[in-house]
Amino acid sequence: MDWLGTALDGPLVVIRAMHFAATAMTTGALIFRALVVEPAAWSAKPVAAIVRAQTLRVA
Amino acid sequence: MSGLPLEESTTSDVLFTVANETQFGRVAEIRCVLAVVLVGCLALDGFPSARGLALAASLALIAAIAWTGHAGSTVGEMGFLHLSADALHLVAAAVWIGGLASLVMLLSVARRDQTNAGMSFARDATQRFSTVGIAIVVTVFATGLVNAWILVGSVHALIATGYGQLLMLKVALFAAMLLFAAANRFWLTPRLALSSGSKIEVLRQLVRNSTIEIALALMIFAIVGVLGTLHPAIHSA
Repeated sequence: MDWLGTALDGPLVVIRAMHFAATAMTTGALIFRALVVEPAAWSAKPVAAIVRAQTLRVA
Repeated sequence: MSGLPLEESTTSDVLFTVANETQFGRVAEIRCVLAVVLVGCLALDGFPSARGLALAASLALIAAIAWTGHAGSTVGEMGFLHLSADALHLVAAAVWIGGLASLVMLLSVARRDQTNAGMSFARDATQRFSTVGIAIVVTVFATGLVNAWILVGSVHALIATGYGQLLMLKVALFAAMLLFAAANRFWLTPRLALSSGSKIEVLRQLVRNSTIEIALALMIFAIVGVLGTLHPAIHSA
């Protein structure tokens, strides 16, 4: 693979992108649970329980 | 990293040298430990202390990526500024994208649930995420400017180098994400609080817009994957 005369390492690029995406999803899901789901959970406990479980699954 | 072909670079001697005698290797070792701690904490999610530790480990895991990229090789006081900006950039981006994926799941559950309590939960969560989102966007933008100033340095380098052109594409995708985020924040989220109208339809539109934002973010991740392997524009122009 080539970008304006610079040779690119295709597999390295793909692995870097996937690694960053996976790490970001994990961190973001845990922060979302702490900052958004937990404070809002009192209004709908059954729904919040499902969302908590799904968030954990993503992480 | 070793400058050798793949077959020669995977020998135990080379791997040992990279792991123990380079900054990349030492940071990778620390990140491996953090990943193991994170997995353990997620397995023990029932305990509040494990949840707190999982949060801390995940934040450290994403922020530490800064030490394995271009920011890790910037020297002096500029290096400290670059590392700080890059780590914050990574954390803010992670909170945005991971939060969006979780928000899509939450809104989908609320759509299926169709109770007043579920709808109220979806509205509260969307409003809270919108508030967090403003801080995220400001952080991503400000730290991105610092990173661009250090790694690109001039308008000429931005336009004339492959690195600069890819960075402009990344900024264009970021701008597109902002448009969808603004539609969610200023148009759809207020409609969730209204008593009239179909809230299910509003939820559907929120899910659609957020899914498009995630798709744009995945394109940005691919660009980030390329940028990390290129020479910064400031060295190429």
